[in-house]
Amino acid sequence: MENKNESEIWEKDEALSKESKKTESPETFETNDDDLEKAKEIGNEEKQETIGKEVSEVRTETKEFDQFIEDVDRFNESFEISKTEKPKIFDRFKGLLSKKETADQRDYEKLSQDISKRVFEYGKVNPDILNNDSIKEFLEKAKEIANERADRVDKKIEGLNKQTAEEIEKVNKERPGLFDKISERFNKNGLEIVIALGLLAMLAAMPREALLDKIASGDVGMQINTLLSQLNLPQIHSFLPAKYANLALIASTAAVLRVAKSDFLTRNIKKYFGSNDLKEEVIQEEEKEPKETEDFDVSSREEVVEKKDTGESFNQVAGSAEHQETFKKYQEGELDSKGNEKVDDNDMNESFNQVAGSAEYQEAFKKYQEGELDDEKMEINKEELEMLNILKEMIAKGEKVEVKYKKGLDWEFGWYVTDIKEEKGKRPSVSLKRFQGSDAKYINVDLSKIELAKKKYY
Amino acid sequence: MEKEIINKCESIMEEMGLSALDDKRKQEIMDKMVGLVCDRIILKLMGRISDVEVDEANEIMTSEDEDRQLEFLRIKMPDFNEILDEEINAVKAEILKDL
Repeated sequence: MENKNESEIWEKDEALSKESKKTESPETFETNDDDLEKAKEIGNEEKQETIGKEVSEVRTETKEFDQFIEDVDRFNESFEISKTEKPKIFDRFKGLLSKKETADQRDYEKLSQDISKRVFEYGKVNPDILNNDSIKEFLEKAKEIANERADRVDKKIEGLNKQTAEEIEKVNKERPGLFDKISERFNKNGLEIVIALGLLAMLAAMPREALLDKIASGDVGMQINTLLSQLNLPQIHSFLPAKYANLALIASTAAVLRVAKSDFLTRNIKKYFGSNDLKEEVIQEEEKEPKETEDFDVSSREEVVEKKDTGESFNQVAGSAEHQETFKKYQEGELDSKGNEKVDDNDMNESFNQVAGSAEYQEAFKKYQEGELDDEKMEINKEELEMLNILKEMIAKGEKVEVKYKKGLDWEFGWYVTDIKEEKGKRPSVSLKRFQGSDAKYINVDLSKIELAKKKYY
Repeated sequence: MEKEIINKCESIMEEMGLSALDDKRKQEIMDKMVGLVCDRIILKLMGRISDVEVDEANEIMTSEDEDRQLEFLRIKMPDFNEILDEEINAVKAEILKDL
């Protein structure tokens, strides 16, 4: 959709540009021709000569520019076959840059951008070209042109900011201070809250199973994957649909580099996707601490969920002793909410980034996405086993067992277990039923998605 | 990583006709756009907070409970994706108009 819009904008821009060229250029010539006629009328030979020369130059330059546009098109078409030779067109463009008054400004800017792009493309094939004096000069000129455009963009943004400021002033009168407080939240975390919100909103509308299916089908935007992978946010990059490309582009700013190292976002992502904890370490941690079954702590279960998740491949590749050590610190940080231990954020982020950024991780994650790691043994943890036994017992007695179902960040009450499915080598799943008015809704979910709704079952 | 970021940044800069800018200038423009988009999103969010919710919103936003803040924002903006897309597109279109 966005591409289409942008394309339309460009097309419109180009159409306007052409229109402008059609109307403006002839006017320029008419004026000069008029002047020439007037000069002839008054018999001023010197002026006749000067004006005639100017008209001739402008015409030549405009023709040259048009020819140049054609040459660029031809060059673009033949770029593939001509890449072993230095395109002469770059030398010619250098000269034309000093005559930009003869061309429509937008044509000129776009052309300069197109050529810059070609230069860099060509530079990849033949890096020496970037050291060529005429090319360097051209690139400098192109930068100058882009800066002029950027100044106009700045003014536009300034204008839009002014409009927005007026609106903010209006809401501030109605609700003093609230905008600033929300804004502070946004600014405090940079873009992270924006990204987290986007993720959470998306996830809230999509069950975990659907997300996992999405991963398995490979239906994810590669562009965003690459970016987020580079940002060391591997847990989330598989879950993002292609439409997040916009966000990725915006996220290209330094603000997102800050996000990459953010404890806040990592914590929220991990809350959503489960932890990266190595199973044995989690179990050890559980054994150290009193069992948390009394208060049905929502977050406690999330730390020990064992599933077909990026976390597993993540763990597989985080195999080096050094990474194990640093990563362990990180994991202990994740358990901080239970153990109240102080965590060094820098260590946490650093170890996380080290592991996630490794070539091994990237490779394993790729394999995971390709489904090579799907046949891993799916085990259940102690708490889940306990719950499973209770469920079996209750169902065998013919009693209704109410559970709460985790949907996004929320827990939905009012679900009843109708069946338990157990297959060798797979995690158990449960069939749930919920009444909605006179209708009933049925779903099958992984054991990790539910908790018993009432204490009395224990 | 920075190289990759810059590559990604190129796309939006190209759309804006600014790909020949140096990285610093690109980043300045991007930062300004991000700020503008954020403000506009907050304004939309403000429009969704009813009069009776203002006190609660103030209290939540003043607290240090980030989870609660996030939850509040999420509930108020379940369609955040669309709004984000809309605002980014709107800002880009307005900038490109008669540029």
